[in-house]
Amino acid sequence: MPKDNTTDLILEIKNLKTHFILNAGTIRAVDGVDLTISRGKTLGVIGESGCGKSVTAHSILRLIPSPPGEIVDGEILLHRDGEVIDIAKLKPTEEAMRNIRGDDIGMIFQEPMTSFGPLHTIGDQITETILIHKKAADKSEAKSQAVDLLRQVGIPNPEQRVDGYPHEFSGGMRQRAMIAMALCCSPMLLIADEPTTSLDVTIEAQILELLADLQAQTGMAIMLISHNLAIVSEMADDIAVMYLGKRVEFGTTDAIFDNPLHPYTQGLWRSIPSVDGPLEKLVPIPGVVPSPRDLPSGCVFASRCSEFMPGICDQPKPVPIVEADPDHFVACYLYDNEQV
Amino acid sequence: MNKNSKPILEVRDLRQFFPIQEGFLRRTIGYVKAVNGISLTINEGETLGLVGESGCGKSTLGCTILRLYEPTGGEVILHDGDEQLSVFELSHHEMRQVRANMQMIFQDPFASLNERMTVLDNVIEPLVCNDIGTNQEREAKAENLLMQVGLQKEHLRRYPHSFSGGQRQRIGIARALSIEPKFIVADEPVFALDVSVQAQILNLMQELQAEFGLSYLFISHDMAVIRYVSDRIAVMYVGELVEYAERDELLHHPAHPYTEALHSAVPRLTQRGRRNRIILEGTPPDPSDLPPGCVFQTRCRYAEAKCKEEVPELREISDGHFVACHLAEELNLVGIQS
Repeated sequence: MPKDNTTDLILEIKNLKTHFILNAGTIRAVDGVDLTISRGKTLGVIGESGCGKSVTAHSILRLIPSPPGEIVDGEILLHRDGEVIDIAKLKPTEEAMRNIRGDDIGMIFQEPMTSFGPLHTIGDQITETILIHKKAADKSEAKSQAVDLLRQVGIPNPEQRVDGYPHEFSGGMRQRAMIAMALCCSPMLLIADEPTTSLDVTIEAQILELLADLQAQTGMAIMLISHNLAIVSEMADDIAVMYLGKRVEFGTTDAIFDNPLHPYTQGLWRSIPSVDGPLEKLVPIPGVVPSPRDLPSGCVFASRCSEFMPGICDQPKPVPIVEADPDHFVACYLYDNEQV
Repeated sequence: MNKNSKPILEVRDLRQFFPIQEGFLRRTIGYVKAVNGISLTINEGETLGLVGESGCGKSTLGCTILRLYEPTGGEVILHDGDEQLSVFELSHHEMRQVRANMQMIFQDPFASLNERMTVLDNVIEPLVCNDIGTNQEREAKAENLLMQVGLQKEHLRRYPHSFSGGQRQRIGIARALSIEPKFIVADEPVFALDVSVQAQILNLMQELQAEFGLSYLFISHDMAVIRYVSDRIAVMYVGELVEYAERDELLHHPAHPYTEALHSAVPRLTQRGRRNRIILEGTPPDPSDLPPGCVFQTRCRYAEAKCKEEVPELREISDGHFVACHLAEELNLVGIQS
């Protein structure tokens, strides 16, 4: 866990707020999120669509289109060789940021079908990245590195496939090529945004296995964003649960699964079917996620919460974050001793 | 769940091939064998879960059963009381009446409703098409249905764009039920929904099943969802049914190597960290260019010489447990432990 060994920290996000400022109003997509990621560990980020998990990832790489998006507050601290860089303070286009992107932090996207340019071979797209980051002296050296990478991610006949176009790759193979591209500069941190969502379950198993193998070999940290709780339970060391731009709960995977504290996390657990576990009737979370355009003033989950306490949960101020157990944080008044 | 061994629908040796045409004369040079000789039975009041990976032909099977495609071969028998109707032999006029007994819930709630029609018009369209009831009766029925699927009657005059994915799927369900069918094909009905909303729809479908005595063919790629809704489970691979059995039998005692691999690949909620998964190498074969022998032999870790030559028949290895594998008796496969 983060606190015990600060030298192992790779990324620290403190009170990050990424808002989209539109004519129709401000969308607070990420609204005060704290996260920490340590070397060699996997952080799982879970939550339903619109909870801000992808926006958080894109903020780390400064890929948020601006306007309308803007990091209005908070810090994104990258720990690199003893120095600390605040990514939130960099300009998205300046060289320091371009170096971090790809070099220190790699990213794989949800849609392997659309994340490659269709007009260039897979090999050209990987060598381009290698050359931009000056990891190879010339083109032929870069290409042989690309072949090695493709072999490393399990693409058969990499010498031939390196000259193939994206449309000649199946979904699983394209996701492997994408991972190869993200790894070409040996990043400290790999952000995987729903890496297997569009893949079949047998192919998904191949990709997850590959990610775990690569992590064991290289010691990189992984930020795994997924709506699939089962995948996160298998892969992650720590888990952050997000709801409507807030990090509502954070702890080790065991703590989050065996002892979920936030009513939203508890509700999620009751509402998902499993292939093993006891076969119980699912208990859905009532209602729907409110529009991010007019968030409730107090706790964002109050409108769907089974433990809603009038006069407490709807106070127009941020919900305190409580360390309910060691290294297990929850944003809920139920665990705030001063309130209850 | 009320189980009744009386069949409502029988599928016999169903085949659906799509021609591949090429050249100026559009000559047929081959066929994509999307559904390749499938037989199964669905009983009254039961849910048959159909699971398989993308491209295995599960949606095509659902559509062909409803005769949304003209089949290449085989038979579908619908039991209506004591009457047995062979669906593929009916004229268009007769087909309309039979469709009143068979409806479909679609995967994408954003594409399956007509955006230019109000919720009311969407829901009563099956009644209009079949010329059932007067306008007042239809509207009263739509009101009732909307309440039953958890919406309000005020929603009737609105258009689909003002609803969320979960609400749209409820409207789709109300539309399927408006004509009082006995049998419903639900094609990935919760695929596009968030997990908390998914549970709402799954529970709703079960409540409606109990109330109206519906039978479902429930198509999904998600084994956890299939386990939750099904009485029996059928597993498809490249156009063929490789195994089907009672739910718990299929989950805990799979007899086909593909089912075993599928179980092994599914992420578990109760297990942390890495476990030994069976990783299937490669991808499924092309349904227009099937391998000789068993369809699964190219990826099967148990395959023997016989599997590469002879096509295994779907056979009953124990009461109600069907499997298409030469080695079913010899292998000791691992299922899901709960």
